[in-house]
Amino acid sequence: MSIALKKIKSILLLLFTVSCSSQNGVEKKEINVFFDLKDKAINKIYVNRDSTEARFSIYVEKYQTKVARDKATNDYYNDPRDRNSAGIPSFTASFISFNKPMKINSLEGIDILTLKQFRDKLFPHGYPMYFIYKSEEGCYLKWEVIHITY
Amino acid sequence: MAIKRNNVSDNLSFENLVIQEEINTNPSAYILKYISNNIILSEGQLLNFEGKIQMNRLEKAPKFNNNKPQNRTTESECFVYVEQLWCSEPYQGSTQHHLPGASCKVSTLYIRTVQVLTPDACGSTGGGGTSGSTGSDGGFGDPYGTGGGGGYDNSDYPTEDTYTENYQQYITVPILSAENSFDIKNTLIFYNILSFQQQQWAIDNPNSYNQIIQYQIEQKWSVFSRENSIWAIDVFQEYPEKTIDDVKDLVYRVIVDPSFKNNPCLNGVYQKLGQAPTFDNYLKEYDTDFSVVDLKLSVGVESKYPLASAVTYEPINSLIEIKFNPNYLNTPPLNIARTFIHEMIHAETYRKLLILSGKGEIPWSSDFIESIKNDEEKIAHYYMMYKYEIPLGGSPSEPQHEYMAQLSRNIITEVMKQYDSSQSEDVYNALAWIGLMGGGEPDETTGLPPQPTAAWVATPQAERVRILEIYRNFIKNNIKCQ
Repeated sequence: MSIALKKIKSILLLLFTVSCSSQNGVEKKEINVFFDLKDKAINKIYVNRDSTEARFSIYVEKYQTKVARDKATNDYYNDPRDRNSAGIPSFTASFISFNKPMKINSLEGIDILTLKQFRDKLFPHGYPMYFIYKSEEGCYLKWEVIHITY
Repeated sequence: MAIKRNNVSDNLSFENLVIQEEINTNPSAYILKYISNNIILSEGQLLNFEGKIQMNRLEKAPKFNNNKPQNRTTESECFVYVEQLWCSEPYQGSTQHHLPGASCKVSTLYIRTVQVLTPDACGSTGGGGTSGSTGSDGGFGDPYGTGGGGGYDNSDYPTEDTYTENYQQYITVPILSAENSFDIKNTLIFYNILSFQQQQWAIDNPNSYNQIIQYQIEQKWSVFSRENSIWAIDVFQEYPEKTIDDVKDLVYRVIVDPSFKNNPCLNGVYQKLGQAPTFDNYLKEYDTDFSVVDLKLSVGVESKYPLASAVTYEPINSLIEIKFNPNYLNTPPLNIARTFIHEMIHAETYRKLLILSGKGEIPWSSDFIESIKNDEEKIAHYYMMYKYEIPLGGSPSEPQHEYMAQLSRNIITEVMKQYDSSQSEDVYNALAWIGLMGGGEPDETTGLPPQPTAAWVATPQAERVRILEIYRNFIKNNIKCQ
């Protein structure tokens, strides 16, 4: 294959890869999710003593209620087929931060996703990705997070 | 009659033995080799044939009884005419003439003269004849014979005035063996869907190409074996130093969807894992029946399980698919390798159940699971215990995860070490637990998720918490794949 053809092939492959990445929902851009700590969509938040680690658990929208979770669990157990390896559906999405949060005074200029939008889009991933909420001190804490599975 | 060879290196042709007997003459015997550009089959029978025909007289068979030759030395000059029987009876709505079959009335049969290449028609007016090529791919000589055929004969030559009936007066109909007609047809179809570059590769590398064809024959020309074969050809074109052995296990086992192939992170992990040989070599140590048949790797988000890092689907039409979630590649490559191994064990469990069912899909029921107890005792046990016949006091759960949590973590650990030997034993052990603790997020204090597996429950709490800490630290301290 000539060098020119190889280059064209590489470019096309790159474009195709980028295209596929976008189509698969991998957001190659910063994502900032803002939420209220009292939002019922939040299952739990854990912050270690020195704030060097934080863990966030957010309900999948359709499994927010116990009734819905119990139904999904029973539906799985009552299905005679073992359809796939995923098993019982995941009711929550888990995120973790390994760095101390940034303290910011304002959300101005930050392209924000609400928690509802974040859930509606089935937790899109960004690089980097931040969770932001208002602290008791009045400023905003901005945690850089990644998704984690167990 | 059709000839079946034991050692076939050419999947594009078929051969017929033709014996001609005439009154007051000795019988003649020839091998007609049909090298097809296009064949049309109907219900396994040959309907139409386009291509080249070569004829080789069998050793000790009488030679042509003809006049002295013209100066004919090239393949294109050395031919005779033979007659084939054809039929004009419309068939399946088509008026195209075709080879005769049961539907043809006698009134629709007619003779069509066709050209047949044969070394017996060669020769020169001066000097001795030169030896014909022995051929390996349809040259003039019989490529499979140990003697006879080939070479030029000075004594019997046709002339331009020779009538066919004075030369080879026989009528034949090409017979395609029912045993290989399906394979020949698909060999042609496959070759024709290749790009020009791929076809050129096939011509330049007949041995490797033939092995790829043999693989598809064994896989009964499934769509996925075809896709995998095209992928393998691309590999060989890109990496000429690779041999069929480098991709053999892959070709034989795994279909790599373009979505997977084009994902640098996933494909990189997959390549480093050593593809199928790594799994094959390791898992066979534990399960001699392990092999993967029509396994497809792909990338995408499963809409019902958008939070799963990967999903393995139960077999559908004997195909098992593992779909990797592209949203969860922001994790160290070793963790992705762990996901890979974890899902491969799911695939293997499905494969075993499928084979025992003898069907294209698993007939899920307690009766079926009961029926496989003698063959796969442990798998049957976990399915009965957690799905079909839950004992008193027991709880339903995910049978395969319960099984893997108890019995497969060592396998996962060992293969991870083979992938990346730089981590501590604690890290491998911790990673092996991921996906096998149970459903839901682990509690911060107890380490138990809402639906824990029995094996995880049996692990002491302090150990559970420690394992989770080791896992998180590993994620924190290692470079992400994507």
